[in-house]
Amino acid sequence: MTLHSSWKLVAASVSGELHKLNNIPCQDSSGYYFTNNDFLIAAVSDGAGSAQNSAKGSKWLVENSINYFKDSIENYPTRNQNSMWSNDEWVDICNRFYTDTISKLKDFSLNEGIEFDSLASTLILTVKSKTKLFTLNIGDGRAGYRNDKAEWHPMIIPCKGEEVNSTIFFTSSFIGSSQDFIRTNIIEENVNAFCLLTDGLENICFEVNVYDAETEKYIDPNKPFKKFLDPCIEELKKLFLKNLPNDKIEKLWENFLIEGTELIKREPDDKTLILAFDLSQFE
Amino acid sequence: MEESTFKPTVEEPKNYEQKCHCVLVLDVSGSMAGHPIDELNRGLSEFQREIMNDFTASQRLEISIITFSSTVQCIQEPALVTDFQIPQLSTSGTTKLVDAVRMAINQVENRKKWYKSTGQKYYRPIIVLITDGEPDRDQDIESLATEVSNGVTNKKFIFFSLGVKGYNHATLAKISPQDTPPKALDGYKFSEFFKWLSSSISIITASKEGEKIILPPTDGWSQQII
Repeated sequence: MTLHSSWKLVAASVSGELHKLNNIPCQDSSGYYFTNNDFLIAAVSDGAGSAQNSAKGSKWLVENSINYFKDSIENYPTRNQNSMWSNDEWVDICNRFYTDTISKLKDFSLNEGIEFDSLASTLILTVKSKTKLFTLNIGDGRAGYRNDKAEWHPMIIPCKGEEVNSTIFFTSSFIGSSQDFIRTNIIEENVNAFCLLTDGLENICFEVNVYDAETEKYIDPNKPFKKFLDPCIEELKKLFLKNLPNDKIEKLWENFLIEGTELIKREPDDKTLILAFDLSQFE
Repeated sequence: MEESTFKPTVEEPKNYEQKCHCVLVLDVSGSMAGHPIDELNRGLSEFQREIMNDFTASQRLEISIITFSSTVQCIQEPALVTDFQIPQLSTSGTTKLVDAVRMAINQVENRKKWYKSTGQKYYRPIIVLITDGEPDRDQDIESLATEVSNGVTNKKFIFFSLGVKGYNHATLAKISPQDTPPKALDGYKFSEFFKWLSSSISIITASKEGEKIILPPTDGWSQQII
């Protein structure tokens, strides 16, 4: 069975309460693509609040990142999926992607006649092969995967500064080591679901700020919240099994991200969530 | 045909909200007696109500209150608005403005240290100064101006100042950062000002670092400075 036939995805980016009140468009973006040699690429991006062109920046970044990896993968010399890629290869691919994309983004800002920094956006990207899950993130947001023991685990470490609302963006000046700026990871467990989200939904889909009675401190477990994610997959499964058209399912997903729960409805920040799962593992 | 719906029975994690500390530095010198202090008291109560009506802000915002006259006093230590009663202010004495703002700067630093030591995440603190008077002659305006400017430049806090009828604009402008010059309150529209402050805090706590923050218009409560 191919990834394309067994994996199902929903993706949506919607405005937060504050942006709606101020008539600011949604500055998040998301997208995904199945390559012709059976890889799945998914990406989310969070445009920097009121940075003037960040909605344009996040959209460009998602589209171009997916295209970059699509081309790289489809043009990669034929090789057994199981052997793709080693950790060093993946780091190297991500570094080349960053260099190439920054250069294209600068050209884009010149052609559009807009400031490069006004396109400030974060990026989380994942490439799913049959056996591995490769991730890359620049900035914040969260991503997690579900293994064959039905446990959810984080697959990235978000880059956050001292203050809550501080992070780095794709357009940020390169400070420190490249490993700290472009964070990469490879998951080699059997994965039957994963999620990618911008920080607008992290309080809802992840445990990110909980009190640890033992140390008497607040900690960030960076843990996907199973009781939120599993019921979503269960309900989505029903819709896919009914063979509901994808656009209808995505519309229902979008509405869920707008007002699915009181907490979701009240969230002031823009909200993006890609949820992907292997339908054959949930039947 | 049955319409498809998507209503999963989800639970959400119990995440604590990140904190945003706002210090109100309030002039309660003798010149604020009567109508001005009554309106300030009314404005503060409405501020608390506004914040309590905004679920997210009420979980994130910690308020502390420092008053100044001939002495400086912290009458409310940092706390969520749901956890304390807004005190009724009364007036007397002169205007130890510089000492009060210094106490606020120390307080935001100490609060940040406490957040860090307990692993709590926080937004950049906000200091709001409200005064109607001329600081006492022993108050060192020049060095306070440097401290405020350094604090804002080094992203230690955000600073807003509000002048009430009779205030010295030149002095307040000297203390205030260039990006947030002092505003003059139109009459005693404290309620309108605090509504604006509540909306502004919602924007600040939803923003990203380094962003150009666009705050709501101030024409509902501020007057043109001529």
